[in-house]
Amino acid sequence: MLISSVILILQETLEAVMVISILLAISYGQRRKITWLAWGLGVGTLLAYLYASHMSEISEWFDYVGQEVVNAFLQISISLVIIAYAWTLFKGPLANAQNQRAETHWGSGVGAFLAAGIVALAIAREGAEAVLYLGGYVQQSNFQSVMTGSFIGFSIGISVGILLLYGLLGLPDRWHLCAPVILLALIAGNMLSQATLQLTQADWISSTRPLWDTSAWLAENSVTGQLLYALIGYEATPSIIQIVSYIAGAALVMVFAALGKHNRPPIQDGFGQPVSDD
Amino acid sequence: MKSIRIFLVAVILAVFSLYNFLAALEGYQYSMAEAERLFDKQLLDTAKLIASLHIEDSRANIDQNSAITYQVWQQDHLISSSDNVPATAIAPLDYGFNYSNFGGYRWRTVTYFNTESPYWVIVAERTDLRYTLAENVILESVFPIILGLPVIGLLIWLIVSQGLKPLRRLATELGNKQPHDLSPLSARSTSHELKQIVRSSNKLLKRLEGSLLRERQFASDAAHELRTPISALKVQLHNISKEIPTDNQNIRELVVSTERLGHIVEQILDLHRSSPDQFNASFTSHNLAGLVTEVMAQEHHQFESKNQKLEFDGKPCKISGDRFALVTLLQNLLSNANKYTPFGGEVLVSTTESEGRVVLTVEDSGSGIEKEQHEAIFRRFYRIGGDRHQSGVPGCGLGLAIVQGIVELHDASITISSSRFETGTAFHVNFPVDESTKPAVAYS
Repeated sequence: MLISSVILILQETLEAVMVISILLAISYGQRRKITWLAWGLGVGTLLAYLYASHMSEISEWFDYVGQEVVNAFLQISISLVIIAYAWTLFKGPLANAQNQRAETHWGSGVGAFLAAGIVALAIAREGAEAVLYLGGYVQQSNFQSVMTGSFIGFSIGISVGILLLYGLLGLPDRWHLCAPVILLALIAGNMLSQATLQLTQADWISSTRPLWDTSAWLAENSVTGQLLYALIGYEATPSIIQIVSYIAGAALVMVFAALGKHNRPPIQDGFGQPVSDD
Repeated sequence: MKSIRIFLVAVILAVFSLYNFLAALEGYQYSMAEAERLFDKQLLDTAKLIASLHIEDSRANIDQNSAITYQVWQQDHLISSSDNVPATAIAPLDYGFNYSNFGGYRWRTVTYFNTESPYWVIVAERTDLRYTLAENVILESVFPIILGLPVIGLLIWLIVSQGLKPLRRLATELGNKQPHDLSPLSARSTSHELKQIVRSSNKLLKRLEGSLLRERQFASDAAHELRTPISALKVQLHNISKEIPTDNQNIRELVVSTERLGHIVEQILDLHRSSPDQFNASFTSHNLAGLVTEVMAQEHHQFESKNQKLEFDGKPCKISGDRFALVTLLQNLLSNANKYTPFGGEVLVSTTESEGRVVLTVEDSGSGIEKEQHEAIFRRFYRIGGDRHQSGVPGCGLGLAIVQGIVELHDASITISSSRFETGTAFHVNFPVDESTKPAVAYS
């Protein structure tokens, strides 16, 4: 039980923690306030509780595939909010006096709102699954083993998040914004890919055979497999539609980031160059 | 990365947890595999033991919930078994280990063929119980790591705090330095890593002290050197004006320019003297109201010449300060009020004491100052409207810069607001009250 608890809680924790670490790295890098985190965590916890407590009714929706459909909806929403966030991120930091008001509006106001939205949606989905899993073992004899495994999984997830945050903050200036955006692109791609998988399971999308199988080389349910799953959306047996949605999600983030950058006054040179602080 | 301490504690704890928990998981998987091998060996030994007993037509009375069970088969006949198994073979009659489901549980089975007596012996053990047993043993070794985490976190926090002590000491020493204190930092008991910073800072302080000394010397020397020729020029002008008709325009302008030049030199000297970096203040207790009336008496002729009404309203209040600097401050504020208030205008000086602060207010009925200019007027050589100032009065834009320097020197603050008159400006200088002298002395 211990190992399966570690894997499940690690998966849930890693996905949420990675998103938070990347957004925190962006905020610290731009010396912005991080009040969005408190809002995101608060609203996310509330949504997770509501989702978990109504899971039995939700799972009966859409001919008993409600859970898959709601999960897919949450994942698609996260991808879309990440795309919008990437756009405002580069549109925001306008480093001249005339656009100071616009900077405050786009860089802090909308950006912080979208960051809080990403965190809230991520916490809602991952938190609800963790709560349901742990809730199922409360009365069981192996609860202690489950809790120990969960604690280990949670600690590994948090540790990876801390190292990722300080790793991103320690990058050279020209990578300060570029690296988090690339990681956000991978997360958005991963979310869209997972959403298609959920919709395939709900029979809303017809299933296709896997393009390849790397489970013998690296199993999805190993600790390394879970780390790669959270980081780049590793799937041992992906279908063509998953790969297409993954690439589409990642590409959209990059394109919108580039569009946001293109639309702002030409103060800085080239993608990835230092973005001025407030 | 706002705090080095939080960075160090978080990263060290993260690396520690990651390493320990990944190692614990690796150990867990290895231990589970090892326990599986031992349990399998034990299961096979049990099968061999049963095979050696030559039992026939017997049934062992084993509880239904027991963790272990067996069957002995001779060809297709079940010749012996425990109570808690079905009548069919619980595993294929092939030598080796396998898994099987019956009785509502999953079982690990071993099939052993005894060549001496041609029996197939199948022994099975419940997997959930053997996993629980193995897991409980392994969990005992994981618990100390989990329980020790807060203690390790606290220890890391204390160690990092101890390690950062020299940095904190250096920061405190730098923070406690007075504006005019350019003495070198203490390199004693400083860690090896910070010695370079201390050495570089001390070199910088030494260079700064040298620069300030040269600047002080230059400003002082230049102003003093300029005073003598200006005085000579004034005398010469006075003599010339006696020989040339008094209404000569050129002479009048020359006199005004010379007066202005002299004023600028005096102001530069005052600015230099009152700068917090330069000033060797000798703070004593003063009755501010007394000082105000004294300076007002000295400067009264300026106001009379413009037919202005100069009034004072205030009670005695004690402040700690340097007499020369305070007089200079009052002279500059009064001079400003006099210059920028029209003929026949009003100037009111007041002193009040409330909530531990003494407030000196100088307000006039002049044209007032735009709010946007409030910050700029304290800059050196700044004049509203530049040289074309509408007042047409001579000035060099140093008066309020001098006032600002004296205000900083006294740990006071200065604010600007509209005066109580229809138009005009009020300057409020907010001094800390002198706590050393209580009760307040009588008005002098």
